[in-house]
Amino acid sequence: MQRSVVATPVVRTQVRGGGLATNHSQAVATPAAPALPAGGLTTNHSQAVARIA
Amino acid sequence: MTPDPVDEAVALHDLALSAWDEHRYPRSIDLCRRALGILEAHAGAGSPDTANVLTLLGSALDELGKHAAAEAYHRRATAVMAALPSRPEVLLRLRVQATVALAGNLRRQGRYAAAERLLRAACDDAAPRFTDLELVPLRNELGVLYKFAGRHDDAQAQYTAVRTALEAAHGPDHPALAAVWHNLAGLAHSRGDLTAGEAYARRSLALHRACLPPGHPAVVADEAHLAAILQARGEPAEAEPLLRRAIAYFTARHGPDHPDVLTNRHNLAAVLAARDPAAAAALYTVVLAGKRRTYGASHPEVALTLTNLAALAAARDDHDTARTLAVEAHRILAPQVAATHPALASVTAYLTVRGADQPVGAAA
Repeated sequence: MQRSVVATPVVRTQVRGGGLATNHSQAVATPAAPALPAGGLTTNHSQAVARIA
Repeated sequence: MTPDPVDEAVALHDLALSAWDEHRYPRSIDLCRRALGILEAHAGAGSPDTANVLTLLGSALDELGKHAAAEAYHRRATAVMAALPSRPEVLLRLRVQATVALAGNLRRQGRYAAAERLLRAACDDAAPRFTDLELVPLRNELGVLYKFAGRHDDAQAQYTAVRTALEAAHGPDHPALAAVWHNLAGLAHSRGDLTAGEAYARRSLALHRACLPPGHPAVVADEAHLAAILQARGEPAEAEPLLRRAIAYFTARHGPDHPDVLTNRHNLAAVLAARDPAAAAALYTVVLAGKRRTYGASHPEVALTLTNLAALAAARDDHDTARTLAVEAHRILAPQVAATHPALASVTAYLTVRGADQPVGAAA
């Protein structure tokens, strides 16, 4: 019986370990909201304290 | 004797790798395309060499911010390698390389869950046969993914494993450590640990400066990364010139909508916000348009700039606008990142107080 032969692929191009990806950092500011009073949400803009973190 | 065309493709791929090493991505892309044409004709579309070139081609396109085009090449590479056996060892390496590159592409497109599935599968594939050092690119990519997804502890675990493996192989002062210190700095920034972040960023910069010229892109990227942390530490005078230099540098190399340009212009806007909120808002608005063009409207990168525009609007008591921006940022981020992600935490805290469902009278 004839057996089929599957040739193992040969790699000729250069195989690297691979470089490392890097992350990046971006500023995240905090929208400053008025303090939440007891009993519910406020819409009193005058209480806003801007905090750009 | 007739020259073997595959030899020519191998030589073109070598040149493409050299161009990649020099951050000359358009040149690398051109060389890859030429190698690919030859390999498809003479080695076959299903050859591992074809996959190797496809992965480099996709990765170079990713570096230019052309992620949609890159994805098609990465998917072809992974399909080729999935159809081949995993022995000899080099085939497993190429398969993992193709998978990590596709996952990086999806991560850059903000498709974090799909990227994680690929990387987890690649870990299962590779872990039994790879050494800790061989696993470094995979673990590093997982770390970057987790950082951007706000999963800080998971990112820390991966980066620590990467650092340990690299230090064991090369010692603590090898330039190969620069990337992991850069990444640890970004993670510390994201966690709000700015003292550690600055130390790590300076460590990365020192390692790169020791082996690269001042105008090398890795040095400029490190300087800009340090600047982001200095801005957060309230040191704009040192941050601003570094950011302006990086913006000019990367704009000249890649154009105004490249991710490195957009990131650094975003951070420059944050510097400006302290002294000139109107100029900061104008710059954020330009960045927002650029991010929407480069990444698409629902990418987490877009949400970061929306968040900071919301902060400026809130600071001038324009809470209708701030709420509209915060709601949009929240809509983008909530399904994709952890609650600990700094931008999601920021807009969630704001909307908890201001209310996401109140009538909105102004939009950006």
